[in-house]
Amino acid sequence: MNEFQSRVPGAIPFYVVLLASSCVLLWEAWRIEGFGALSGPGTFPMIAAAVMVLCILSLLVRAFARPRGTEEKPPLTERFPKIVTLPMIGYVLLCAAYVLALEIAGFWIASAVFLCVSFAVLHQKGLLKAAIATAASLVFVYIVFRFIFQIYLP
Amino acid sequence: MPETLSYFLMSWLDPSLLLIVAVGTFAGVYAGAIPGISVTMAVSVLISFTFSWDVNAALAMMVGVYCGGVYGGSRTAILLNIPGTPAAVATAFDGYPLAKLGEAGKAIGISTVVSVIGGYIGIAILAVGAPMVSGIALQFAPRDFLLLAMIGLLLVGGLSGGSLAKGIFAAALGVLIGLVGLDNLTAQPRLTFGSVSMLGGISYIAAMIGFFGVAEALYQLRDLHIDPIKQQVSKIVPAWKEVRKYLPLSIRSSAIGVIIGALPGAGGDIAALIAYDQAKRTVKNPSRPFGKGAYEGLVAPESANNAVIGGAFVPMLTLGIPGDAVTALFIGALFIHGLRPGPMLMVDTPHLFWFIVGALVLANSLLLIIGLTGVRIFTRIMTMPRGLLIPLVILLSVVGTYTIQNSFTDVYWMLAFGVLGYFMKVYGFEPGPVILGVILGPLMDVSFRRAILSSRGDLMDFFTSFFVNPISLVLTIAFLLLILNQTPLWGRIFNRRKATAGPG
Repeated sequence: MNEFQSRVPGAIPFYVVLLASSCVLLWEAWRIEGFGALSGPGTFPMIAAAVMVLCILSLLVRAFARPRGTEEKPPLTERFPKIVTLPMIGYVLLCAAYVLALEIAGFWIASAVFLCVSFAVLHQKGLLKAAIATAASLVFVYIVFRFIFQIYLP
Repeated sequence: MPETLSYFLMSWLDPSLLLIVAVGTFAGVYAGAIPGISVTMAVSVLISFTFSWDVNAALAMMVGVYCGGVYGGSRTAILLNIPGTPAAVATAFDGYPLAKLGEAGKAIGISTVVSVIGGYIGIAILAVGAPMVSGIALQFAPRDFLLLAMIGLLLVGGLSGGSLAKGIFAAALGVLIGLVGLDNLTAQPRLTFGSVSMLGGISYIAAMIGFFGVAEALYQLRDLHIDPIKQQVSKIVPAWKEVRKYLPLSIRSSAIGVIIGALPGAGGDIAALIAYDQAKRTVKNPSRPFGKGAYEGLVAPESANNAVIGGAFVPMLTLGIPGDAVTALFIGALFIHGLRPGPMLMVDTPHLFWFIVGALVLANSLLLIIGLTGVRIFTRIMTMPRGLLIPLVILLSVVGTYTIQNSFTDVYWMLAFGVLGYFMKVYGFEPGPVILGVILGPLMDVSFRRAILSSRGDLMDFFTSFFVNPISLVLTIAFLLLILNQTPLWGRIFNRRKATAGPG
């Protein structure tokens, strides 16, 4: 985490998103019963949301106050790759597609496709090896979850 | 007394429980050793699979994974310079230089023995201290629980990420996640945005697996192609003479581990670093300079991080406040099994306490056998490529989240928390305070409202009550000191004191 401690590319936009989300949560907490009784259901959520807003404001103020480095700023396209890479976006989408597929195609088919594609893309040792690894993983999952844990799979 | 002993020995005498503890410890050692699978991740996924089990079996498995996992992290720290768990960070400082000097086997052997010593000390303190703390905790008023929970969040917020604002933000976010759904006291919907599907709340297992499992897996995607360096591991059983030499340091470091572990929110990583630092300052003639393969630099963090386990169970079982992220997960597991950790747990279900103590001693003893054998298979499994590991972690996370309530909504929440957790991790927000907030949020909310009600809604009366009762006063002072500690004023006071004391 060290390399990302303070001046991580995109920190300020991220803080702004967090600030906006915190304000939405504060508003939602206020909607519970406004400024009602102190022992009411809305008081504590409002305090927690207000704490979030204050913390993120202090982080934003500090981020803006920090002097910018003397070296030239790299172009925007080069600042983000380490944080949000295309393969990462692709992989998150693959995970979401996997969960959707679970509902449609069932556990075994969806998991087989998900694992095979993931192994092929991430491990990069060819489709045949990915297929073998998938088969081995699914046998393992079947033995552990159906026999040992006896759980209901999606 | 005979009853207590029978509860204590339950996991030792029942063959199925004995096997479960052994399997859990074994799995924990390997899970903890594989970089990319943390103990927290392993326990969080495991909770979802064991919820249909009998409570004793589920706890036995989790106790084994916890003990094994904390220890397992040291293996990769020594052999690959990659701590398998955050608690093993300090182990790598001298462990890896030892491996480079060709002493990996001896280093693993000594780290195993001192880990077990640390573990026993932690468990002994748990067995003696928890009943005493529980007795005091029975006198706690709602405001005291509120103060304790706030101290926990403040501690974990301040210690885990380096930035207090980030830590408190993460904790407050966790609190709000924990409060989503129908209010327990008035049945009024809270933070649901008008959605019916959110009335039942957000499953904290989904949050735990998302923040610890998926977020960590996504984080690992950034460094897929790190080739591990293979080390030669020779004989690892250490000589008694060596163990005796490091015993005093091990006991000292274990004491640090127990204290840090018992502080709500502070875990093995902090304990190990503090123990390493004290060893560096107090050991006059180390076997080698610290950082260059000193065995003392290995003994201190390894004793401390395993002693944390016993310490962390004290506030969890007696106050319902987790000592670290893993005990936060244990609280979740106890809730699933219909139990409420807190002062009444030891009154209502004393058997559960002694069963956990017995299982901890068993897991710790098994650690010695598992730790000192099977190193060859271990080095192979440990170097499993991340390209194979990450998809499996995602699969386990999805299955684990789904099985809790057979709900795909939980799985989507888990994925969303995973993505949010990834960005938070990248920008220096630790997931620990979030999970602590999720667990402590409802407790804080109820304690706050009960404290207000007991003051009949009078704010003045509410605030003075924090200073009138002795227990509340001690906790309030601790809370205020913690806040002061995080401000520049604290540094100024201490600098002035040092400056005035210096010349004399």
